[in-house]
Order: sequence, then structure tokens, then C-alpha cells
Amino acid sequence: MAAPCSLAALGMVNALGTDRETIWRRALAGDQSGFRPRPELSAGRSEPMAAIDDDALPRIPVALARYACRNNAFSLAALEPIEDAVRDAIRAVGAGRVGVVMGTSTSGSRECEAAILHEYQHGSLLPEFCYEQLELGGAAGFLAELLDLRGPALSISTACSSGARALASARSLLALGLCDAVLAGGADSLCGLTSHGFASLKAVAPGITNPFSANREGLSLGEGAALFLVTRETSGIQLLGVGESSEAHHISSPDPEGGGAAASMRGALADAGLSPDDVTYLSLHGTGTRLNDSMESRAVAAVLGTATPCSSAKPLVGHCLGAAGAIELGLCWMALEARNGGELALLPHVYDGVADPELAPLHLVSAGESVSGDAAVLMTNSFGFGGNNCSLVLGEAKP
Amino acid sequence: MIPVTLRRFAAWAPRADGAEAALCSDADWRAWARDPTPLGHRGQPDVPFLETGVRRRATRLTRLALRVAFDCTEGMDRSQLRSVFASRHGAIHVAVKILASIARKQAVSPLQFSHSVHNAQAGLFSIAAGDRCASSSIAAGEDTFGHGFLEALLHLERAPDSPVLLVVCDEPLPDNLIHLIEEPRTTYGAALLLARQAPGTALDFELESGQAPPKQRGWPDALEFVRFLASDAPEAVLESGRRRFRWRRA
Repeated sequence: MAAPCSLAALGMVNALGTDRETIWRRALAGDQSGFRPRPELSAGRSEPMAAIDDDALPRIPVALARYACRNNAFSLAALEPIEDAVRDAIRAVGAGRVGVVMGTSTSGSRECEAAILHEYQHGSLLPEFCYEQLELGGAAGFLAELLDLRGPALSISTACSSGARALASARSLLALGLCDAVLAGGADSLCGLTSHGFASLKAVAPGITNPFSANREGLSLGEGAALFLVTRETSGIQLLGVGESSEAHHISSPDPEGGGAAASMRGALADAGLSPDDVTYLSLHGTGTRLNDSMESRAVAAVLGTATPCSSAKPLVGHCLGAAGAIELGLCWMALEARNGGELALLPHVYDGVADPELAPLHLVSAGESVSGDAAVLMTNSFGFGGNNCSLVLGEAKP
Repeated sequence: MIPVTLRRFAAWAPRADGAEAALCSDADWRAWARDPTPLGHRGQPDVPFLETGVRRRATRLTRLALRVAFDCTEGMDRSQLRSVFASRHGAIHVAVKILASIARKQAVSPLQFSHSVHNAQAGLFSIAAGDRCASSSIAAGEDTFGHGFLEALLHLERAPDSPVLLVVCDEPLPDNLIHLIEEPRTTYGAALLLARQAPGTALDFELESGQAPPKQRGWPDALEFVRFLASDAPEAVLESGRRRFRWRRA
């Protein structure tokens, strides 16, 4: 069994809001109003994306302008509500004992796109463009500079499992004794590269994504960040298990039988020392593509059976790619935190309600559904492009 | 201090003048370690073990990664290996081509997009090796090599009984970005097979707060580490402004 790993504090920003209370309230209400067309990112196409309003974002300090990108503005927004707790932890253990692990797939690709467009039109990159804005390592480097940390600071980029993997690495940094606290999560921003890229793979839905429906037509992109303060405290919400696997199948599609996904889920349960019956709720990867949902339904049915309540957050926050694993773990964290009188309110699975007879008949959470929250164990799935899977299990520390 | 054993290593880099064969064998690296000079950036390794179709589509970064990964694991069952792929720039050449297409309002190729993700090399390795074990892909700016090594240690923490393959590779930035940072202009790949306990070179790893500015060398951090392995030096130290990675022979 792994050493205790507390998810002591959480900050989050996405299309549902910039504070936890608003995000959780709108998530429970099944609010999809954050989706809107972004023709400037999609060559004029009209598919909706779950975007964050620019005016909701903090400004990057001038001294860190070389890191100034939308991605890092999300990290800054996610840090704000937990900054006091983070600074207390830094004071308590020292800047050399605090690490940063960030999942990202885009980092500042959007800013690079603007710089290269300027080069195409005017013959030179935008003068304010810096490599630190673009490079993947900048997602972690920015937070280390901002907080003047001297511990490890790395970015993990395994496509859509990046944010989940960041938490796995954070736990191991604590277990190895290299850090006493870790700031871990993910950040990803809407940009032309992913919008055009997923469109080229014909993976994007024309409307809001509709996972596990017979009518599903693909994914909807989103953006945002989630940041956890991860410590060795033995109380509160704990990261109980990590499962990992690779597909070894195809560079842009998973094993249709769901073998890699099932291995990831089984690994997380084994790591947590739990059995399938212990799982109260599963946050599905649930991208809404034909293949993901089909293989994931098989994997879930094989590992957990079909009675476990489950839902996909992607019809609410979009597919946040490198941040998805952290944001979806964060929504599970919010469910536990908001538990009221033993009842655990579950994130609804928002779709057109037309179950696909080709899929295993999973228990998709209805609006307003809740379960007994005693000894709740929550699991999240993240399956990355390129064949990289990570499942996480969280729950409350046993008294 | 964390004990770790290096079971094997492999590395590939072109010579600076580009005329002779690239540095590739243990003997090449031992000779270079005795009298290290800056390395080159032209050329790419052969990858005869890849299927023809995969080989034809492989980018230079993929060739670098898979060549050293396969060299380092020669004769082993590669399907049982966990892996960490570390690269500061990753598939930046592919990403810049895609962004140039977008600027010109041209269609993005799905093949290019598939190869633009940072974990493309990890995915292609897992397919070529039939390897379904855990894998991660990381970047950490100037400290990418040290953090790649660290991430491999984190995988060993999660499961100490099986080895982890660390693959580090990079190439110089595309022409339109190369002026943005200062770094040795080197194209290279290096792979280390690491285990908690096994026959091999026993090392003690340490991570400390840093003070001194990074030491300027004519070659990348990963090859400075290879220089340490291929020599009799008692320790290797890689330092950035914020932290110091140190390896000592145990």
C-alpha cells in the first residue's frame, strides 16, 4: 500500500467558473452555457467549445512576462484560492522541499500560433513572444518562478492523461521523500493546433459532445486548469490509488476491446488495495467519440460491472486535454467536499438520453442523483492520445 | 539520497564536422568522454528494426528516441518495460509546420497532428515493442534531463521490482525559433535502463536547492551524464539556477 497522500487544497478554473462553489453548483445543474462557437480557432467552423471568458483571467506579473500565456493565466487563476495554503506550506517546509508537477499538452501553443501568423504576415515573430511561453516545461517552470520554489518542477505531457499523471508523480515525490509538499495539476488552453488537429482526425462533434449516446458524433474541446496542494497529511481527501497502462495499439486510436483501459482501472484498484465493489462512482473519460465510449464501456463493464454510477464531465467542461485528468479528479474532490449529511451528490451525465444498444449498459448518473457517501471511493479515467492511460482513486481518510 | 542502479546505457549523436560516422557505440562514447568536444546536429540514425511504413513516417526525433531505446534494450523482452521519455522541445518541428499551415489557411494533416503530441515517441515505442506497461513523457526546460531521471525514479518508487527505460532526445529548434534561447546546437538521443537493485553501476541520486548559475557546456545535459558514465569520474553534477542534480558512484 502506498504512503498517505492528501489532496489538501484545490483551485480550479474552466468554462463553468473560476471558483469551486460556482463550478460545482453549475456542474450539478448540468449547465452547458459555457459552450460557444469559436470560429477564430476553427477556420470559421461553428462547433461549440467550452471556453473561459478572457476578462475572468488574472494578469501574469510583468516580471514573469516571458511566461505570459493563456495557459499560465489559467494556472494563476487556479492558484489564487489556494495561494495562502500553498505559501503556508512553503514557509513550513522550505522552498527546496516543495515541488511542482503540471500536466499540459498545449502550454503556450496559442501564443506561438499568433507569433507564427505575425511572421507569415510581417516577416518576423511577434516581438513579445518568448520560448518560455511555448515550451511544455514552462507550465511547471512558471509556478516555480512565481513562488520562488527550489524543488523539482516538471511538466508531464502524455496528451489527455497528462493531468492525471501529474498527481501520480506528486504522490511518488512525497513517497520518495524528495518533497514535503507538491503543487500538482494540469492546465490546457484552446488553440488552433488542437482544434484543427482533432478536426483533421474527424473527432470533433458538430454540437456539444454527447457521450455514450447512440447519436454521439465526437468530442468538444474545452480549456481550464486545476491545481492541488498535495501533502503527506493523513486526514481529509486522499489519493488512494494510481493505475497506468499503454495501449501498444495505434498512435491515434485505442484498443477497441478496452484492454488498456481495463488494465489501468484494475491497476488503480490494486494499488489502493480496494475491490471493484468498493467503487462508489466513476468519472468516465467519456470523450463522446465512437471508439472511446465503445471501448470504455467494455472496460468499465469488465472491471466494475454495470451497476456503478458513472458520468462524463466533458458535456459540462469540454475535453480539457492535458488538464482533463486534473479537472475531473477535482470534480470528484468537490463531490466529496460538498457531501452533506452522508449523501454524496453525483455529477450528472448530460446527454440526449438515447442509450447506445451497442455499448455495455452502464449506470449513467441522472440529474439530482445521489448515493450514500459513507466510505465513498471515487475513480477517474484518463485515456491519452498516443495510447497512454491513467486511472486514479480517491476517497476520505479512514478515521 | 536515493540509490539506483544503471544497468545499461546507449546514446547517439553526430560529430560536429558531420563528416564521419556518428557517435554510437560504447567505445565511441568512452573515446569522446576522454576528450569531449561539442557535437553536431546533422543527420539521423538508422532504425532498421521498424516496419517499413512506420520507418518512412518516422520524424528525426522518433528515429533518435527509438534507436537509443532499442540499442539500450538489445536482447531484452521489451514488452515488459516501463518507460519515461524526456525532451525539452519534443515535436516542435512538427508543431511549427502545423502552425505555418494554419497561418496559410491550409488544411492540417491528421498524420502530422498525431506526430505532434509530446508522447508520440512513447506511443510509437510501445507499438514497436508491443509494450503495454506504464509510460510517461515529460519536459522541464533547461532541467529536462535531470527531471526525466527523476520521473524514472518516481516510476521505480511505484513498482521497485521491474526496471524503467529512460529515453532523452532533442534536436535544435526550427530556424525561426532558434534565436529565442541559448543552448548547444546538438541533435542527440540517450537511453538509460534503470532499476532499484540489479547488476550494473550503483549510483546515489541527490536533488538539492541550487545557487550557482548553470554551467555552460558545449553539449546537452544528457550527454554530460553519458560522459560521466563512460569515464571514471566519481560524480556528475547538473546545476540550474534553482536546483542541483547530483549522481555519485556508490
